[in-house]
Amino acid sequence: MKLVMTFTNRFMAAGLGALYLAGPAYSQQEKGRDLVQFKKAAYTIDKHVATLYKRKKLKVPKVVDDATFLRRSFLLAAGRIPTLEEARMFLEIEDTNKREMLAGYLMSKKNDGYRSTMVNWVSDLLRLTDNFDNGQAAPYVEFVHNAMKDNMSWDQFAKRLIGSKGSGWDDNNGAVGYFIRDKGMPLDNLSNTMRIFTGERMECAQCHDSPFNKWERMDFYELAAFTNGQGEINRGPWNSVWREVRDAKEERTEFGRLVDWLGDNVHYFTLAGGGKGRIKLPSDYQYKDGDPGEMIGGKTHFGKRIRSSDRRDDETARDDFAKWMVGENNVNFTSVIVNRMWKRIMGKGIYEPVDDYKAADKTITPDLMDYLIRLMRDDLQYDLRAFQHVLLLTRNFQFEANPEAFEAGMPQAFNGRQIERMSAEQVWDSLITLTAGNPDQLPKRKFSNTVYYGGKAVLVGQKTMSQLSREVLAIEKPGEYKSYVNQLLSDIKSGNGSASKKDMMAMRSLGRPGPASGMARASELSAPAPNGHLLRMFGSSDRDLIDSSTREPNMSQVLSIMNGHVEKMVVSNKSSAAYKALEAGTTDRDKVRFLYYSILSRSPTDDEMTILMRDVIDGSQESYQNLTSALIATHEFIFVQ
Amino acid sequence: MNNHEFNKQDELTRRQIMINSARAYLGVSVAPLLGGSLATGAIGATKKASGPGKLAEHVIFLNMAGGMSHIDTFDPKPKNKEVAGPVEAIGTNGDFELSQYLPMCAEVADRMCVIRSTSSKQGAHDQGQYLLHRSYSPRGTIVHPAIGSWIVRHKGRKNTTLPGFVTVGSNPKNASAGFFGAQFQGVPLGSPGDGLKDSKRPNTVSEEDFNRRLAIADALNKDFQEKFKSPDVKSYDTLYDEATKLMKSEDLKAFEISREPSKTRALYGNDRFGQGCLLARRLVEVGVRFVEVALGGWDTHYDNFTKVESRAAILDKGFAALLKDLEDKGLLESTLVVIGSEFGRTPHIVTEHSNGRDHHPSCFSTVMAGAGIRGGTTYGTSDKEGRKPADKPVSVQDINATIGYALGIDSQKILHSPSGRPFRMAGAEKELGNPIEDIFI
Repeated sequence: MKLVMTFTNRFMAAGLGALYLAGPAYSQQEKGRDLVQFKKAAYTIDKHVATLYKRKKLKVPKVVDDATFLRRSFLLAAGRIPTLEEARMFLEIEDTNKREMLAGYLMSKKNDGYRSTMVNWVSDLLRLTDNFDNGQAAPYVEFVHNAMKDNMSWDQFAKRLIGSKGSGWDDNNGAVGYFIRDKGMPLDNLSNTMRIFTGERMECAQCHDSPFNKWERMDFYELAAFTNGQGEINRGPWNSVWREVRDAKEERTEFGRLVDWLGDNVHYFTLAGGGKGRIKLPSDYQYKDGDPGEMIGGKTHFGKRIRSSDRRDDETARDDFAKWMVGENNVNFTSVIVNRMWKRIMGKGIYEPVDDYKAADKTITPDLMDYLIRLMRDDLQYDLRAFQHVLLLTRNFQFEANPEAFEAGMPQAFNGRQIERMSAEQVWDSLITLTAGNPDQLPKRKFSNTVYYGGKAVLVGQKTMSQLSREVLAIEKPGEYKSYVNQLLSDIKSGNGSASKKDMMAMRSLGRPGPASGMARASELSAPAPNGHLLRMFGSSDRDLIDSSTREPNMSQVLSIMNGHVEKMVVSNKSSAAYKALEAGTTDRDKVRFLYYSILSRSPTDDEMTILMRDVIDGSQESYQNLTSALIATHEFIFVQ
Repeated sequence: MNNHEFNKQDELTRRQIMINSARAYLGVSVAPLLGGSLATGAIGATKKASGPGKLAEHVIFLNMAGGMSHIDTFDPKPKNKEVAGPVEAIGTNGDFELSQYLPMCAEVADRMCVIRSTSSKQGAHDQGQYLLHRSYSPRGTIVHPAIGSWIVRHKGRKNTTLPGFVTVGSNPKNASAGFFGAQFQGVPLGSPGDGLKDSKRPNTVSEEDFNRRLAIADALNKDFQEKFKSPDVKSYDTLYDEATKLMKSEDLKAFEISREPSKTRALYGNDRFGQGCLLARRLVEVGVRFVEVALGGWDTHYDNFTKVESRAAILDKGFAALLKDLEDKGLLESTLVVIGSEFGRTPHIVTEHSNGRDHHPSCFSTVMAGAGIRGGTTYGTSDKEGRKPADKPVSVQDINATIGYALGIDSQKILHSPSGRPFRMAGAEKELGNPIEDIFI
């Protein structure tokens, strides 16, 4: 660093802070898998990358400076820029191991940024929304959030999503939401499953033999057989009661409304049976290998070959399919998640599109791909946090961005990363950081098993959603159903009077369940973000389609930076965290430097300092506001190097 | 700040960095960037022969996202109960029937032509929407421009202070300029009531400070711009220029639908789509070339009839009001209004899914109105079930070529991407679209 760090000594003397502590703490948490193993893996990756550079006679990029490393690491691993304190700590200490320590800090369980950014990532992949077509999806959302928080292994996660059955309100059973999300379109759901977990694109084969790849329509239906049969649990009695309500035009009565609500919030969120394992070919089946309406059994075409019968309904076909999916022989499964993680950290997939599977020997670097597959599957057992931690420790991660522009979409995994605009979530979470400091402390989404009806918590201390749904789903006869609803109605009306103080306290202290609003990280806000929110302006996904976020520039973004959120949240807000920089420094030069730390995660260059001191900063609040606004409006702020 | 002569001209000319910023942001010398690039950027309307007698100036594209059931809307099959389900057909003031879900459209049928033989090979939403908007299938190596961008590219902007291309309530991807770059990018608006958010300088900052900030940012950008030659970085430069220009535009109020009388607003329907249509009219009124308004929720695998009825009610009101209002304002002749969708839905009704309908790309309907379209007519027919085109099949590329034709654009003209690859508004060579000239007067 060119500037004289008058503060360095004082700062270091004052205590070394979280960064130093994070290293050993993290190693302990990780039990047997210590840093040594991660570093060894990182070294092996780098050896393979070095071989590739040699073989392709590519110019090896330089390693980035500390500041770029800091910002890149934070944005990719924690989904936001570092705070002033985090930036200072890293930039101002001199320790040869500090990059390694930073990786440890970011990947430590104590750091909530990893969870938050992984929730964003997986939510876009799964098209996660707060509501299904009918009824709320909260337990499913909770499952996904918890899986990222607890770092559930990827194979376990996939197995739970594909293999679950029953009611979404059953304890710890939100994963059935994976199918409920796509109710009515089980074939599209299967296409998505294959794309998400195996990188096979089968959406064409849904209707005809694919002209673009090897998949035939028969193959598609053979796979669809496993997940076929996605009925609801015991919907019959409800149907009869609802028909009566409709015939009597009583939909708007108290009784009618409650029946309607149970249909949407209890029955809709159920998945009966375990998959039939057989399916009828569609009425427009057009090839010689089958007849329209013919019943066929399930069959897989790669990995371990499994089959299901075409003669009788199966009980466990979905589970069998899930086991096949994550089985050791299904190299697709491992390769695709390796590739997705590589893209998350390195910027581009080893193959692109990231979800269009390529066998290792068809990639630019077969040895590396083979190694990464073994690392993910055998050594790390699909621990995504550990895998990404390894990637953060590689030299390859530290390579400078390639300043030359490439054609859009060209695979550029190994020629120095391309600079890329921050994702919508990175922009938002970074602005949140500038406003409120470390956003780990901000409000989070809340989940609850309390019954909320008509916007109010009801039946507190009497019934949870799990109990309610168990009782409702057990009813066999319409008559019973009606009396149950009547009783429920009267219980709801009689209020929470019978609830114990403890129950009421517990309910109140948790607060209202659902997404956070206002100042909270993107992962905690409504899913998808509402139209018109800054997240949407910057291209966050509407969650209709897989990975459909975009980073394309548009004018709304620029207007929002100049006149909107940036001004309101950060610049004109005197208590915003960015201005801590002004308290941290005593001289104007220090204040400017700390403002740079806060916003761009680096020191100003000598030239910049000269210009700023001469033309911009006069010590007034306005001059610092102007600089703050300008720094956020720079390209450097919104591009990830 | 008195002792800081930041925006004093003499001082600025002394420092190269500041000169550039001043040009771009302080308006010290007239920035030729935008005007210049507009003149050269637009390739100009092509030969007169490639359009109808009177050329359209604007397009309003109503995107029925999710796959609109053609059978339950613009191509009813009342005689075939198995296919029609509970939906009846109603008479119109045109030469065709519509579904009972579209009573208001029936009264303006004499302004529209229903193309009932559209088909596509893309049965999945993302590929289908991509094709609908760009005439190409998605590829890993290039991002194709949306039709709105093609139009701005071919015709140039009519109002040079406003964006040429705006989308309302649509996926921001549909505002993509692809390899054309930011100058041709659409502006995606979320909620029509919000208009163009943040288009005014906030009252927390003076004009002097506002300009100062832009100049500082511009100066600080120089190193980054020199280091990284990314087109996205350039795009943001362009966008800052355009945004500052836009902020000064007198036509900015076109984005405020609250300026409309409440009677007019009510005519369009009190929902995002209807109000989006109203916003679209206001925008074409001030010369925006292409406005897309999206209405989602057409993916009716489950409980098709309930959902289509509610979607259609919104479409019916908004579309009918739009045509009448454009006509009243004398804009219908110069505005092509299109209703498009990525595909239709199956004739087969899936009873297990509460009477759902699945994706059906092999036959669906597209509607065109205004701009010299022969009203009250249909073009092409579907078979008895609405399963396949029976007559005069039309591809999505043909639809886009027809949109170009209405504006006098030679949609088959090749333009090159920065890497030299040839592309056309009407799609790739082997699937090249041809305009349907017959539907014009």
